Amino acid sequence: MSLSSPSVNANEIESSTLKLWHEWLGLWFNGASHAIGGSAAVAFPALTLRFGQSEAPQPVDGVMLTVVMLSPSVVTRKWEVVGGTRQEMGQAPVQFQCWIRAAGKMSDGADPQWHAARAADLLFAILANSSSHHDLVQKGIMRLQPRPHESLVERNYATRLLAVRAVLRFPILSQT
Amino acid sequence: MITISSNLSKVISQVTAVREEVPRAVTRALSPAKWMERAREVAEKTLFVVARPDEFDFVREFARAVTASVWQGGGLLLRLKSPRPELRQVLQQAQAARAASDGSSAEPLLFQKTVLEFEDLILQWVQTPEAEGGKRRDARDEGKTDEEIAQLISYIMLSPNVGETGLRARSALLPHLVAFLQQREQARVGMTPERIDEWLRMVLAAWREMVRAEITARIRAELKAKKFP
Repeated sequence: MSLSSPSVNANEIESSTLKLWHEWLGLWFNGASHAIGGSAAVAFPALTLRFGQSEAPQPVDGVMLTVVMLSPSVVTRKWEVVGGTRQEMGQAPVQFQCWIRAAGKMSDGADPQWHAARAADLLFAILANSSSHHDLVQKGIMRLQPRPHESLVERNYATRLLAVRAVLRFPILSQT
Repeated sequence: MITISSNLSKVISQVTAVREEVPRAVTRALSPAKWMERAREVAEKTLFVVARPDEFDFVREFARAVTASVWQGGGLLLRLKSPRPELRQVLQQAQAARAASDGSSAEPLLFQKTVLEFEDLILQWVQTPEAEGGKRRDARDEGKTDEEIAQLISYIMLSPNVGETGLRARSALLPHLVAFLQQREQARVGMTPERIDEWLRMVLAAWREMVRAEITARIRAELKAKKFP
């Protein structure tokens, strides 16, 4: 898989990063089977993807994944040689919080709790596998470190929270 | 001749200095002022994830209710309480407000709002038909206006000086009032207590992840600011 969205952009850090996540997650959670690293292919569910504060479809039917990005609190800058040219590069540690929520009738009749856990397990697996998330690294979302997901009580939904630490790396274009 | 030298004493003194500095760096890193805006950001983003569209209006109100303070002399306490207290809290506040106000004109506005809100709820109960959860009328209510009945009930519920008979009347009234007020809770507050509890737990989970992700880097930054590597 390769991503067509532009790399992380210093002038639009959050929107460029979430756009990459959207594309990358859409390639995995599309109802088809995919191999995670060197493992045999497994079936990935089709998820409704949502980013930031976009409005959720109501009612939630099926499994929805919402990715929230906590804005970077610090950006370090360093001059490096990139492709033979000196370039100032920015680096910012960030955290993403992935909320997986399942509700309503599932196509296979299984419990929403099972579907939420399954989606969370698969998300953890692809984030933890360096081959699976290599496309994100190529675009500047690096050093992904997912944490085991946590189950939360919500009356009308099966809810899981999976937090991911990462480092964003992007050029700072100060030259004309 | 062989000379053996050692930098052990220098290493020991550096390690001692780091050991002394680390607790101070942790305390500085946990300063509430350094976490408040981040905690609010996380609360707001989390609540927008879980809120239904009809709940969006409450999200910013909840996020503004986040507080950060020092915990036990050097830790960090992040707190989010519902900005809309449950009605039993309103009753307690109204009782306290009535007791604190001795009826003089001094500082009337300080307590007036809490008492008025509760009295208004009692009047609604009196005016609501019994079939819809309102007050059952009996012989004692004959010849009285709704306002007069409500005033008497407010006196029974709020006055600190009701006596034995008044206390028995208060106990008898309370379950009926609570049942009615719980019906109105959702309309008044906009959210049920159970939903508010869900929201607070979601924010707590998000805060846990936030602190786990950031605390080490913040402590390291504090050490670096004091020239420790």
